[in-house]
Amino acid sequence: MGKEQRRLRRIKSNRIIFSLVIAAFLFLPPKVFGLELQGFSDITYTYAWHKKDLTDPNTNGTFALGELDLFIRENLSDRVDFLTEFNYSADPNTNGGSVDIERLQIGYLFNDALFVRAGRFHNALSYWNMTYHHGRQLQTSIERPDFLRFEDAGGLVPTHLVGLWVGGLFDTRMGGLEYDLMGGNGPRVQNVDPATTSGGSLSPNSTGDDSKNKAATFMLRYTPRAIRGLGIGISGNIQQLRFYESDGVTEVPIVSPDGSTTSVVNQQIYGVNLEYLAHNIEFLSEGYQFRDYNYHGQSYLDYVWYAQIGLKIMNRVTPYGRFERWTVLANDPYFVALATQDMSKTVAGLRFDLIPRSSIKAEIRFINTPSDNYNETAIQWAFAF
Amino acid sequence: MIAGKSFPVDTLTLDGIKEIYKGEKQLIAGVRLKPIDQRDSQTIRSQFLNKVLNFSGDEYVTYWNNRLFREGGIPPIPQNNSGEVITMVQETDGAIGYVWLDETTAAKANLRILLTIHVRQ
Repeated sequence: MGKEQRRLRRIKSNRIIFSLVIAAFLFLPPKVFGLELQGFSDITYTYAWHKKDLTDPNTNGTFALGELDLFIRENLSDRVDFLTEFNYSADPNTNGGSVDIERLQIGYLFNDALFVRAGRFHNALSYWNMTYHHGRQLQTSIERPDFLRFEDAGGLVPTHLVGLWVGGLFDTRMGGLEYDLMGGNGPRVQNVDPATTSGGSLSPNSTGDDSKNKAATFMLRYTPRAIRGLGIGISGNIQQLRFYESDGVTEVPIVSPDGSTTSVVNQQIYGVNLEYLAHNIEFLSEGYQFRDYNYHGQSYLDYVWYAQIGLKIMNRVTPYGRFERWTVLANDPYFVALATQDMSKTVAGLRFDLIPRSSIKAEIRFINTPSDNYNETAIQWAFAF
Repeated sequence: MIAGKSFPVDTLTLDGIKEIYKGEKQLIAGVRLKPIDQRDSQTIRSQFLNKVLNFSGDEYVTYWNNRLFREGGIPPIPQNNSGEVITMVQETDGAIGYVWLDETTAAKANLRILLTIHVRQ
């Protein structure tokens, strides 16, 4: 069977799965067999100008369907809980779409300080990733910071993990101490162009690991009782990455501009986050250091961070702004494989909450990279149901 | 704050109540807690949210939307009025609810008053 036939068959089966999910959603009562179906979606218009890459549809001014995210949660007993999340996203290449199992987790609650879960989760490395993920209605801005995009959309940090998750919350006199420990399949970099050894994207290896080295993530977050709304966290992730062509089988050694070659990268990511969410103020910030080691032991240090601030007025209107910066080394094979370069992005926007479950947002973005400087405007209508 | 006679503790602190209604405290003595809420139309709800939990009604909805998406779990179960809250805490293990103190008089024998909170209306 040819590659094109397999692709068409996959699209057809995705459409059938999605149709069944939608049919269940439309024709069954909201609570069926004890399960409640909830979700998020949005419609967004984006226009980019002064952009050199005219193949980007945003340069034409584009309406885009957001992802349709459906999740089901249920406590199967007082201690056993279950959560699954499907995501249907439109594919700009086919004008079709694909269904992903975003989360599928079963857990056991021993006490408030200890739960154990197995399955596929949101990676605890990032506060934004854990808190908002596909819920665009939940986040103030239209888009998440670019380095926190999902693996298949150009993200730089792992946003999903398949394996085991241990976590809990210690309630102390000084405040809450929350922890998460995750271990599971390490990601791979796929769709690398063998000619340039670049242009790849992360994949969380949901159905099988390509190496014996597992990924591990930790997160520790403190919320002091004395200052309501303040949260401070540290996190880390270790993993090993290999690089593959689009067939997912053929490995591609990555060639850096300085001529060094490697087929594997051992990676450590360390992060800090600081949030303040009270008195109608929203302040979010996260910063990460990447320590990448190639096959020969050469190390590379890279940094990405963002800070966002917003102020809710009259309980409905939130002006906000965000600055994001990437500082990456040109010879780091991980960023060569992902075709990543230095970037800064400034976002200014306004969000209007129609109701607690629906909002309209408008923003302007200024993007600067070594190869292009351009601007975007976007309007989004987001909702939860 | 009231619970049924089978509730595993006799009293709770104000901080403990906040943690239960924010979903942060889920178990006491191995019993799964089931916080009971009241409908928007009840005056006691806005008093409870504003003066005990420090939330507006919209903020509380948003808080639970975020929490359910992030953690899963079960949000506070809404009841139509204090009478239904009293019935539910009597019949459900681990259930805890809020009512005005004078509404507990008739059913006092079958209730446990965990905490009395004085609020200025």
